[in-house]
Amino acid sequence: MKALLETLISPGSFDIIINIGFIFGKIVIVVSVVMLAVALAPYFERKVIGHMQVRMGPMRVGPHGILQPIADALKLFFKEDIIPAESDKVIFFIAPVITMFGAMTSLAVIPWWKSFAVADINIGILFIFAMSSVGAYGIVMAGWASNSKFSFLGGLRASAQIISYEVAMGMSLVGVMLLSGSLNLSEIAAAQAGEGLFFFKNWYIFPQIIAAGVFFLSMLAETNRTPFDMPEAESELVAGYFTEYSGFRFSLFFVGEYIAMFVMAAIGVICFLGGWSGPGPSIVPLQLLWFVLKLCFVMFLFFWIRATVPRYRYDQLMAIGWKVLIPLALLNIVITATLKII
Amino acid sequence: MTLELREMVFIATALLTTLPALLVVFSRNILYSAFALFFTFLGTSGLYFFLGAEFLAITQVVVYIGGVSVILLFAILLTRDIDEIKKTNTMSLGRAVPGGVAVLAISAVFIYAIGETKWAASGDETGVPALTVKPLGDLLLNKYLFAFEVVSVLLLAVLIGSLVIARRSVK
Amino acid sequence: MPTEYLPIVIFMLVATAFGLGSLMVGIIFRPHRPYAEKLIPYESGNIPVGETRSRFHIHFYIIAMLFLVFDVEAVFMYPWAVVFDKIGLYAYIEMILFILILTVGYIYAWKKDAFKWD
Repeated sequence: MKALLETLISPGSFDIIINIGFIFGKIVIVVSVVMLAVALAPYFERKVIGHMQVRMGPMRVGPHGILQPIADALKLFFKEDIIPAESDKVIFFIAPVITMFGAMTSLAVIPWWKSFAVADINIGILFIFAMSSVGAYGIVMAGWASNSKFSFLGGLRASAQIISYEVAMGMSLVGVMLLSGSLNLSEIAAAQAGEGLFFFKNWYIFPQIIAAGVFFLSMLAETNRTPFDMPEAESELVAGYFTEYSGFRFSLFFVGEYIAMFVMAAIGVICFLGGWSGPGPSIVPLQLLWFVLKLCFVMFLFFWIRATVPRYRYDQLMAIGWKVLIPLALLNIVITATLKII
Repeated sequence: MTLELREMVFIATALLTTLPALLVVFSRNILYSAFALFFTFLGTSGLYFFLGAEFLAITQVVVYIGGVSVILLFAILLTRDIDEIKKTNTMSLGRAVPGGVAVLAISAVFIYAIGETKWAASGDETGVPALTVKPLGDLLLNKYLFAFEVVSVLLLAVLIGSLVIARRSVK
Repeated sequence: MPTEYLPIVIFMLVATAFGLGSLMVGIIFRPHRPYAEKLIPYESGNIPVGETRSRFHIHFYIIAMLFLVFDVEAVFMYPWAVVFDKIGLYAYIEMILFILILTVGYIYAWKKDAFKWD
């Protein structure tokens, strides 16, 4: 403790503290913006699905129900916290924190505009994969700790599904790495920049159309979204691994899942849709605007698919992952490498 | 004495690695051991970062947390003879003695290895090769090409072996 | 540790603090009135029967095993993909060999119905 204090008052540490304060500020901004987006995302999801099914969606709280997310959050915050008897209290407590940790930390490496990411590291893509495995581990813990059959089955299904599709997802991005020669998300996005009328001509979605398809399907499965939402299939598993979670513990899982959706959508945008590149001059506000617009588009796809496609059976899900997506991803690697060598 | 920031982070990481490791060994509930291993793996990954081996560190998380610890959990949950999960990892003399001997032997090997390694002097970061992805790929495809291809054969053997064993246990 | 990882360390601390903090703060505001029936795990309104953590199909284990093998293969592909431009044809032949060996294992697994869920 004494050593710590001496460090804090030593002359050289002033720079460090300023530096840390600066980083901390960045993190707080990124986290609060994403939290706001996460609060609004379920509202837009309900609105989009509502209108697709020719109904209004939330309308009661505020104009057009815009205050619904706040009402939901408040409700969850004041709900009684129920820990089922004979559950494993410690693991039950840790599980949502770990899922949240995995989802939130992934935000660190996402470049929001040219050369702005909280941590611009060389292996950004791999970091996202690593953090998504951490999140998946939290799900298994929750399923086991709840002492409920529905949770247990949901946790098992979720872990098997997430690891299966992680292989397909990891392999689909090898094509992107081949083209860009980097694992750094900023560099991958920068490699796709273009100007003028055909600003999109360098986007990897065109040469990597197979990979983009594989990535998109794996993205749905990785985030437990329809049509691959088996881990939380409400008609058979009640709520899957978070059946026994209530109040704010539940909302940690819920928010974690939406952050994971944002992260996956951001990876898709960066690796296939050119990240921040777009028409017009290359200035920061425009870059951010293009990035956010593309992000919204991918998020809209999530909602659209949920309103359109029915759920798959579990055996079909596994068959799609292992028998279709992985061979396609491998084929894509061979094709991309062959085209590059010729 | 002043503590550098990186030293503080290092100590935290080392504690994150070793404290759960104690829980892995001494917990009586084998599932707690498995869950504690999660934190040990995370901490080990952090230690790799300190060695400048970022690719290895991330791979550690992807493979060990995403794969190995999930396999461990599945294996424990698949075991037939667990009646009372709280007493599955009991310590007895018959286990403690061979375990202790193994620990001593491995520690001896590690201490010897640490003594033999030529460590870069503190502050001299230029002597340490940057173990990022590109130099690693270079090494893998040139100097360690043979190892690289042997790995693929090894993985093939693992795949076939695991399927054979799993099939046998179904019947 | 390279300094570009400092933000990640701080981010991890913030994320952990957020998770723990939001659970802790809630304790002050939320009611806590447990009774025995409320704490029964949900089982469609019935009293739970049988063992909760029942044994499950070995197929989950096989999938985890397959994941490990394929994930390690994928990990070897990343450094290869990044230096592909520099090394060229040589790297190409090596990886085709690597993928071919992987494909043998993949076909074997398929023939053994490892991907079939029954």
